[in-house]
Amino acid sequence: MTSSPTTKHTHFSRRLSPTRALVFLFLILIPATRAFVVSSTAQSARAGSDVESGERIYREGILPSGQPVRATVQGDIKLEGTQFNCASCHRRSGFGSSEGAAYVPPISWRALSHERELRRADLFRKLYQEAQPTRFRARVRDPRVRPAYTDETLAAALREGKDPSGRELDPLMPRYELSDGDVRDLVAYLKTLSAAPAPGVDKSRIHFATVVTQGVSPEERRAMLDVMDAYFRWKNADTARMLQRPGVSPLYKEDFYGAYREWVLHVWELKGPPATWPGQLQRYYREQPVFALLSGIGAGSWQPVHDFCEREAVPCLFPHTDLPVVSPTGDYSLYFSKGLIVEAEALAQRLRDETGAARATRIVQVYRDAVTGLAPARALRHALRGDGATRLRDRVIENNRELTPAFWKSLIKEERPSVLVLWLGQSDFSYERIQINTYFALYVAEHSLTRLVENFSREYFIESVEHEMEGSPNPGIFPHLSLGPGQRFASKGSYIVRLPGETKAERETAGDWIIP
Amino acid sequence: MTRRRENRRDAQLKKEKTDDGSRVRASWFAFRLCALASALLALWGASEVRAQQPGAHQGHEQHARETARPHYTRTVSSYTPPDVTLLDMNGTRVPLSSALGYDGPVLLQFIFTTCPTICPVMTGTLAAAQNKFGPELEKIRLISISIDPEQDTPERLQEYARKFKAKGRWLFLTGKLDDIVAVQRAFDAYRGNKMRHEPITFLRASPGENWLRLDGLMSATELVAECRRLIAR
Repeated sequence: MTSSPTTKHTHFSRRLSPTRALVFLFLILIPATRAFVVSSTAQSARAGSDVESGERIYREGILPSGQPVRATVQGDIKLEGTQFNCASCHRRSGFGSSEGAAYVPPISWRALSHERELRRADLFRKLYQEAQPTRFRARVRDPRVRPAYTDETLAAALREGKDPSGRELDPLMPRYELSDGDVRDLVAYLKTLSAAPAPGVDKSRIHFATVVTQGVSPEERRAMLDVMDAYFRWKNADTARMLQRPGVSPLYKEDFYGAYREWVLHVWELKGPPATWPGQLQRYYREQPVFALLSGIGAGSWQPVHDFCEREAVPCLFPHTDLPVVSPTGDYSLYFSKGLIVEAEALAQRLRDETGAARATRIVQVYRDAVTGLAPARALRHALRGDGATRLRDRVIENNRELTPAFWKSLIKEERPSVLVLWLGQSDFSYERIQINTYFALYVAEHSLTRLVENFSREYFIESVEHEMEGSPNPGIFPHLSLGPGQRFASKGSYIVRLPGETKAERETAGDWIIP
Repeated sequence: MTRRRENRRDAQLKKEKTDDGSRVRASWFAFRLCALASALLALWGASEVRAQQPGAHQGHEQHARETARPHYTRTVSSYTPPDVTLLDMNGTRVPLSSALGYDGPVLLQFIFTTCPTICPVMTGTLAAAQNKFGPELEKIRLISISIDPEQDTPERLQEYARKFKAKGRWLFLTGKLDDIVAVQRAFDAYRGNKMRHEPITFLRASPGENWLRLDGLMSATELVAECRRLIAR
């Protein structure tokens, strides 16, 4: 969400001293839906097994002894596992990465356990679609053929930086200090790395789902689903066209024939109390596993959906969520924005900057007893903590109470606020926003998927989204969208805008882009 | 010399244009032209090193023979940093001119904290160099500027600095996105997307002098040697 806190209702401001700051917030008004589900990890690892220890070495750089793994790069630079580990470069998927002039080859078990074969499809994007320096392109073209790795030659690669043909690996590859037991654990883990096919993909189809919860208006629902239907239809027509023309392929598209799939969309409607949503999601997923969850629109907390993504290790790309799970962030849930939370944090920063000099600012925040009010109100309180100059008061309104002029008059009289914060409605809501953000989420998903070629790994897909977000043509709802490894919120800040009033017809920003 | 530099920048801008925004489907023809241009640039880069650093180049060749891998290139350039104010890891505003105008040797890198592959190694190189310098470190200023400023808040930079055991005089800077892009452009280090950035370390001996630009990753010993050689001149 890029805009929100606003100054409106000028009849209030006239009654207040003009020297006092007045901030009104009109945010999304959605019925109360609180559902906090204890989050659980996606992996059902076998306790104490070699694979689990190996995974910890790979992902966190921590040895079974609890010590960080030590390594040397570039000849004489000693690094510890907490600074740099296998997953940093080869990524969680094991499919490697390309960054700057560095080419990091895949080390999925399929790659390691086979003689290295040269497949143009795997290198196509690196060679022709990424602007990379000459050095990088030279490296990618260097065949470096090698036999398949064995447990012994893998140990030599990890410790001494030698590949099975005896060739010295790049000095960027760490030379690890690992005991025989550590190597055994790590190799046991590597044998599982992206070894199983991802659910939701077969030879001809790839399944996606989207979520619509109860409480979403028919117009909002349609705004999202119409765009998705159109996108899926277009995508499938394009795929059909490609597949009909084998042999006539000026852009080497035949190299990718194996990657084409029909896209199938499943709409998962969640009904009833949010406490029952986890069960409903589970039922949908059992019926038809999906490769990823794309978009989704809901009223209230997004916790049950977020938890589902993390539990089942399903990549989820959410463009509309106002109440994402901010802490702790997940591995599989990616959001366009922190929604109401980043707005509360940006507002706190603005208030702190503005009232820095004026002592004893009295801020009153008004919200209904629903998660859409409670969550941003809590975030604002947290962001203003330890700020001696402000006094923050909460006024919680019962859900069915009407907000009449008389209500506001008495509130102003009782509280005498210098700043009034309202977490109430969604006056800046527009269907275009839903449509554009849905479109952009699908665009990013499509291009991220294309980068995988035939390697349908969910982790690889997420890594690809992290990479693609910044380079894709941002349609402008958010000033800047960008992810990176491990980043889970693409837009990092918020504008404070003035709503159209008596003098201004257009909404306009009041101040700079705030990154709290 | 100047024209060559401009040509190079034009070529880079073209690269950014083709890769930015919607993916331009590269035709073979365009690719070949690009490859040709890159090869010419690489040749030109090599001749520039020869022209400007005869002694150093011999050292480099010798090293290349030893490791069979020419892993970094050296160029001497003059850059004009923009007049912007950045934020250090304590949230204090730091005019770039004062950070770069430090009265002593400066080592500068562009990094970001979630960068998976090359930044930990680049930062690790500076961290290891800190310890190799000995008492000279007192005079040297290390600067790491984040190229992902919206993500890299001062708090995240602090955490990153701790992770790499950064010592006193090492500045970690962030700022407004546009300002950060302007700084990268000024140092011919902007590649349009943070994932495409390249490992470059900039060194200069004293204020107003040209910068020595090292493209590529290197060992801490090599970096310290480059720095000492520059200061001794």
